[in-house]
Amino acid sequence: MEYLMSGMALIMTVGALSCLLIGVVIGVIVGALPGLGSVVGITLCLPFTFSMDKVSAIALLLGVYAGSVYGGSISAVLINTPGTPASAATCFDGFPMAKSGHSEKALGWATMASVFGGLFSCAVLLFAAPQLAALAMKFGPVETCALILLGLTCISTVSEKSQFKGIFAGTVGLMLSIVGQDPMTGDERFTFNFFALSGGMDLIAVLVGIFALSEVFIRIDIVVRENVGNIIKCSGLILPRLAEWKGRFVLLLKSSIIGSLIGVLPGTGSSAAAFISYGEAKRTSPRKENMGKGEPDGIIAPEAANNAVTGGALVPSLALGLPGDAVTAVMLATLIMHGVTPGVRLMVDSPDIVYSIFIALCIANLLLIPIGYLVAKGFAWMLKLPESLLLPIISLLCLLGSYSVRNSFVDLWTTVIMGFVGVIFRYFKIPLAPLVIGLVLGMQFEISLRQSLIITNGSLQSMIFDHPIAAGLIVAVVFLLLAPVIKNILGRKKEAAAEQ
Amino acid sequence: MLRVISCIFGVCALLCSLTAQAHAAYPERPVTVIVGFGAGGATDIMGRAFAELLGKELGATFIIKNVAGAGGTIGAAELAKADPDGYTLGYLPVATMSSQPNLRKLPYKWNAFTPICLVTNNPVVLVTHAKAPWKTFQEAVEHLKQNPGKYFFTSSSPGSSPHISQQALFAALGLKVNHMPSKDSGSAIQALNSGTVQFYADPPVIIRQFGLVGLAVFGDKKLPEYPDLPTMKELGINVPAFTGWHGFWGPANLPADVLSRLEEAAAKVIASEEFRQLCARTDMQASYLNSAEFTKFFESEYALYSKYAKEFGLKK
Repeated sequence: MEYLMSGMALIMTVGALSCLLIGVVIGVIVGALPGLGSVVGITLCLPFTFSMDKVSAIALLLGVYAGSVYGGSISAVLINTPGTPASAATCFDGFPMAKSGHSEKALGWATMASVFGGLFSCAVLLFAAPQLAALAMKFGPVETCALILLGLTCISTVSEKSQFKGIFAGTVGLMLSIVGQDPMTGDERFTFNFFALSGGMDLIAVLVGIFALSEVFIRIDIVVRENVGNIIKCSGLILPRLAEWKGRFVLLLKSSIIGSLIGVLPGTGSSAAAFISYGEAKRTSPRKENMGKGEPDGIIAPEAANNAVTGGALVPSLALGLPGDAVTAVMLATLIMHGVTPGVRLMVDSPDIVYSIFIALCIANLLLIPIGYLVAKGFAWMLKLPESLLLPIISLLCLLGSYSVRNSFVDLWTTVIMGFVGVIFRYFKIPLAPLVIGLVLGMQFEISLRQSLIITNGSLQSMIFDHPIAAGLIVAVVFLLLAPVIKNILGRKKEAAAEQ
Repeated sequence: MLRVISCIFGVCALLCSLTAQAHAAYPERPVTVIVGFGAGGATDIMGRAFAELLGKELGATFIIKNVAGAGGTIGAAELAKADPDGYTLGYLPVATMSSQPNLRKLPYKWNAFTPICLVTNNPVVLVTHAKAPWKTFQEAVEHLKQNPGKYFFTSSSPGSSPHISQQALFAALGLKVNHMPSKDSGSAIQALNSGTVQFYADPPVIIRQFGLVGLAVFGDKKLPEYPDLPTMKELGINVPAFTGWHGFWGPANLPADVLSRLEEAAAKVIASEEFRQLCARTDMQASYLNSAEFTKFFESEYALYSKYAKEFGLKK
């Protein structure tokens, strides 16, 4: 408790709080602009943190972190292009809802779900960090591999109309994740002697191309052929009333738990959490029939989960010194620069800093409501621009965003090519999300699978019997895949019985 | 009249350019420093701070450009291609420069650079996790002897210095320990602390940071902060003194005046109080070698990795 107070004293200074505020503003804006994401925001702020005191520096970065994960949902809802990978799943229901004239409501659901998810993960960080860190330590390659397999089953949930098309897109995503250096030997694969490809496909470049640029291409087609005005009209943001939450609270809680837990496990990340949570909602929500057509549940699930990742990802970062993603890695580096060594001793040696981080994250999440409101207003204004201006702006941002991640020209080409691939996919009604899921999870899946094969010496027996967590996860995967088939068979039997 | 005016202008322009020439010492515009890794990594943090101090020393802006991917080689390739005018330089570590060129074909030759100076150089320690059944190097060797092929070591990537150093060590001892590569040093520590693997090698800061147990230090120099940790020489093991270093590079054929100016400024920066403090905070050891010394050091490092890459069948 006294640490909580001293942490509070550290963060409740004008300097630290204004840094936090600036961070959230920058975060929400970069997050909302298609193509620019958390990593760009953090890299932008990094040079300034060197001259700040450590608490202000961390507050700035935390603000950018929480803000950008949330901000991505604004463009996902309003222009059907996820601002960051974390919001890719928000497009499914956010955009249809906006299209049907409820864009302000859709943003309201996204905002409240994000704030709840973020605050929930703060509580998790406060009360259970050491225990969860111990759990993360139980996750070796075999367990990680099984968990990712569970994540990959989302491909089937998000590709409802045609499983074949979904699996096709997922396979393309998995194949894209193979491009580059072999993680176990360093050999180059599928680079076609093109050296710039040896670094692999950048997720942002692919995502921006396949979602955002292809959306631009499709809109150009619509504008030229049908000469319609702006598709989405938006005047800002309307928060949902308490009564509307009825029956959705369980989903909100469940999605926040999923997000926090996935955040705790290093190397999985917020986009995976959003997809898994969306898939879970689609499986169990009482309103699952409406999902994909503008159902609030389809916004709540991914948005609560991706913001819950922020607190979760800080658990291994603060308790063990092991960053969960690129953003927490930069935060730890900033701590090091300020003479605080993150690692197993951090919570014991500098509990005040740990608590100030926790409080800062709480405040950052609360700030999302007013700042989200302002940025949504700004976006609403931007959407009033004629499409002939709006589309070039979006294209420019897409290219800027994909280039700025690695400063690589090959990423620009990737984006443009993926833009056309996205158009082809949409033309044949192939879902885009499975490709992203495949790419996001593919690399981690390959590494953990091959590490598992090394440590178990290729024995399936050892993989299952020596790793009970992994075995449990694999049973869940089998169940998830077989459940629809069994249901189908049982349903037919019942029908047959009814007919007789 | 017009000709007179143009003549006057011409003379003025000439004079201006002359005075400019007289003052034009390198650097007269911003310098780009390529870092082969993403923002926030160990190389980026040190490179950024080093470049900023160097910029102050030389009175110019030094901009960091993160060209990440493929073990830093994409950044190195960009540096190799750059004009040798001193306006594109690189901050790249041992893994990129000495190890990667041995593992696969790259679009540049390993020596397509001008080594400007060595910036940091850290010893490497062999570590194990706190729950391991051994506490000392000798105990570990006993266990490994009795259980050949049962235990694992990890590395931050295949062919990296943690990989080569540990495999060289176990080969020198005639022990069979398997290699499980990890994605980066963070996941290597995760694999170690979760008990998936038993050994890892990296600079000594990880012992304190992640609560690990140090077993031995490569080379012959004792670590002042861990006086009980034996050196490989003390243990009588014939294995090279692997270290983890960061260097400052230019493209091949950097003009001599630019090189000497950079060398001189870098020496001042590395000896400065600010840089010393930075090193203390990041647990890095500042270690300056001038261009000629660094070139020699780099050649021997490259030869070392090349030899082991061939021996371990990694060379392509």
